[in-house]
Amino acid sequence: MSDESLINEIQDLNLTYLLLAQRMLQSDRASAMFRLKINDDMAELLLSLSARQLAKLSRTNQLLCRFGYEDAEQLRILTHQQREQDLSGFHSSLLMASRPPHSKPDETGN
Amino acid sequence: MSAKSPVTEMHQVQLAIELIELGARLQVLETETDLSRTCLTKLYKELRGKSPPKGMLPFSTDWFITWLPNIHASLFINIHQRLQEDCGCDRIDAFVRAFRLYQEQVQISDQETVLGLTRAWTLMRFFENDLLQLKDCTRCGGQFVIHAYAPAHDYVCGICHPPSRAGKTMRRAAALSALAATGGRKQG
Repeated sequence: MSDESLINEIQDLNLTYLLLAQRMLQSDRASAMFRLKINDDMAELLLSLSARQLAKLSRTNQLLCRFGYEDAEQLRILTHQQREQDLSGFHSSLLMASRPPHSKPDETGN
Repeated sequence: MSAKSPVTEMHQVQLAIELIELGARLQVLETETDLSRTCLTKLYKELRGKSPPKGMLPFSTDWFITWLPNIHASLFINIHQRLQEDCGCDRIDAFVRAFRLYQEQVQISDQETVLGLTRAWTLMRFFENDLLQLKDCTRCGGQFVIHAYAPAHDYVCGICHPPSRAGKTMRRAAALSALAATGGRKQG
């Protein structure tokens, strides 16, 4: 694949992502914030952007949406589950909804 | 109760309708709204076409610790906490949304709704009363429901380390043998 078509795909994906994000936020803001993993300020701002601004924003050679997993070890466990119980989608959903250990508010009570 | 505005009452009726449609028992509605029992019963009958079931709600924390319920409960409560802590929802608002998001995942994963709405509500209350808490699985790092104050230093979740008979319920066995009997094409 040539670099040019790659970049086109990235830009397409960026715009699709931004438009989807806006649509989600418009229909159910709180659930959308959960699905997108963004905070209130970001939700507010995204909603306020015009189509023109979104198009401008997507014109870059990097992806605007980030990977949902930060820990490769966690993803390895998820994808290499030994006993398949048809629960991998569930597991994935649960892991992404769990607050990652390092971002927890101090848990001195333990 | 005295100075109830029509708008507040309308919101409460909307909430009650939403909860009934999602499968709430009367006790849930009575706790979460200020509407009278008569009004709630009427709503229930109209929406579900039958009288609300009588009897007590399940009250044991142990059910949430058993294998499959634990996985479902953990997913639900994680979503609920994110909505409440990170997305600015108040508790009942977060509850309804979390339940819908949980059900979505159940559908996508081709599972059954193990955690019904009333169970989910009981779970939320157990968390609010510190009877249950979340614990990190030492393998996958996901957070799972455990009894509060239970010693669990090397906790491993039910997905990373399923019990030997996990998923082999009588119902599943029956379904599988029925499939085999009909010369089923689908494996597993």
